[in-house]
Amino acid sequence: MSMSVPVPTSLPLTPGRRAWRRLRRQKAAMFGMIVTAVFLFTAVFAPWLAPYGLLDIGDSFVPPSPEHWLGTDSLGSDVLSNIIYGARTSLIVGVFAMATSSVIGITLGSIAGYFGGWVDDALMRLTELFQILPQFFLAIVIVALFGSSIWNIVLVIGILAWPVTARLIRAEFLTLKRRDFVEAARSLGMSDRDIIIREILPNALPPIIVNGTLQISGAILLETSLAFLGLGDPNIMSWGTMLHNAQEFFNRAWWMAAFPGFALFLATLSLNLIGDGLNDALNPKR
Amino acid sequence: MMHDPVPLPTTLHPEIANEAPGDATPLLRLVDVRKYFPGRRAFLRSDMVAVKAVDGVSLSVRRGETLGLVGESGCGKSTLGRCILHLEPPTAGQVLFDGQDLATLSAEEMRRRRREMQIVFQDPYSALNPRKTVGSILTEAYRIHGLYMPAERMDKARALLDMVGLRTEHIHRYPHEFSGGQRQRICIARAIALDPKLIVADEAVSALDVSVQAQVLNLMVTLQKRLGLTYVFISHDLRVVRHISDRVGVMYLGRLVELSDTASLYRRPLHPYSEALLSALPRLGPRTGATRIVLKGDMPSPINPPSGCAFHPRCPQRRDRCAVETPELREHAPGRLAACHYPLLDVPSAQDSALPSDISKHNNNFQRTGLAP
Repeated sequence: MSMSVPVPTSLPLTPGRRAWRRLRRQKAAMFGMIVTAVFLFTAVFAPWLAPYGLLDIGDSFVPPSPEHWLGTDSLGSDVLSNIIYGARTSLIVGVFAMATSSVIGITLGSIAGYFGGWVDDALMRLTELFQILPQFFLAIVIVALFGSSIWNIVLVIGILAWPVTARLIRAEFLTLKRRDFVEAARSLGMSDRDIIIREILPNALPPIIVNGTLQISGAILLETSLAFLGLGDPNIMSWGTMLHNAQEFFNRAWWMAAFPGFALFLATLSLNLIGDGLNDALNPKR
Repeated sequence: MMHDPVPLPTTLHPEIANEAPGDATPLLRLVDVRKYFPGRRAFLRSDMVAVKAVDGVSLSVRRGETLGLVGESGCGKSTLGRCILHLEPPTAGQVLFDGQDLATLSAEEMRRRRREMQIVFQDPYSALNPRKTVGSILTEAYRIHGLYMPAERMDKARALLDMVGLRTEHIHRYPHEFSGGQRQRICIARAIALDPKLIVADEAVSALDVSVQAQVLNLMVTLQKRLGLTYVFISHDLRVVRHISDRVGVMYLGRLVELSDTASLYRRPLHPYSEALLSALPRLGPRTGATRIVLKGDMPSPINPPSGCAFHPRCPQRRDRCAVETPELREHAPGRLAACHYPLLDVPSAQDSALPSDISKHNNNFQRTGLAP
């Protein structure tokens, strides 16, 4: 009695592979990916790529020249080398802050969305509490109080950014938990924990991935802003610190501000382009 | 006007009388199951309104049989199905599975009990996790209950695919690579993975093409014979229910209005609502005086159901008493239960014929509708 209708026999098309296929068609997203790849490469291999070490000090205020492609700053260190090392800082801050906020946001958002009721109410009020805080001001206060080591900054940004993730994931859970495959899993006897992690979460991830790329660029900007105000980690080179140092010399050495600013612009722009591209690629409805 | 005569109930507990003789415990017994959902609070008013999705259903399902549940959309048949599996714990009443009240089980006991009862949903597109392969969907059941060695589970999953008529080499595919009928087969495979006793099929074929419907129904019948399954088959499609069910329950507004063996129900329904429902069935051949009974109005809101018999505002046979007194589900003929003060009995029993002319008038009514076989 069995009848098996043949299914097209192409490669098994995983949801991930389909998204990648759609992503590849978008020029802006591909541009973003290439720039980000360069940025990542630079950050990882900074000591081999930088023409000068961080402590190599020569003449101050040398304009862009064959020896110093992007000039030197007020202390006589090479701007290009500083930018390359700054990429590393930005990458660390961006990725780890995003990871921190994702862990908190996904955990709390999943629990709130899945269980609903008073758990949801309590967690969402907590989320709102964090959302109404003036973020940048709070970041300044915390860094000023607890010191401005890079890990403090990562933690502060992570703690400030999780409410968005929590809300996104909660919204996804609210719709997904009513889908029949969740009921089917429950009727197979699956535990709540497994339903959350194995059934719902993989389906709730696309908006979180998109949001993650935007959070990386947001974290980079926030770190730069803190450093620009002089609250960056003094032991580490960062684009914000470079901009901070460049303030006084803008008339004299434009390259001190222009190049780190451009690097920042390029990094955040490309991350946002990736985010937009992923949004379209992971959301087949559009 | 005088009150109409009351047909005497043959037993006080029809749901018990309805059990097969010699069957100590039915596989499933529902005792006055109710499911109320808290409704939206009216603006600036403190009283809560409840949607009475299921409002006192009692029935039993014998081992190995297929019980059909029919009714319009919104009559509570799906909610009842979910109450049976305790996916939605009932507000009141008992669900006795194998003689055991499911409400008394601890969470862990319930989880183990779930092996014995499974569900097949209407929409095969929403019922399968789009991010998992068929193999991982099917082996999940074994993983949850720690059955078999991980290496054996895939072989088991292949055997399941074979059983439901799908190709075993498709085990690494994703749900979106299958057609609706094939997906429903996967859902059935998942449901039988743990060798359950009971399967609740909630509109299991309603989303499929008619040709595919027949294939899936036949598959379900084959599996029932092979595995000794008991089905509760929920559908709004009377033809499908007739095809697969041994007995059929008709639901209206959260209540069971008729419960009968399939042949008798389709030959001559007892409840005016069942009659109206059946008259809507398209049939082949010339219309030999068969009139379709078109019910007036919509189904009333389950928030505020009509008084007395919930069907009385739309009932062509209603009398004064129907608006006042709620009819209980009673046995009017052997194995045939209806919740109606004036069931459409074609042959008045000795007891009934002793009563005034109301019943025969009623039967005239019935003949006019021309539903006689």
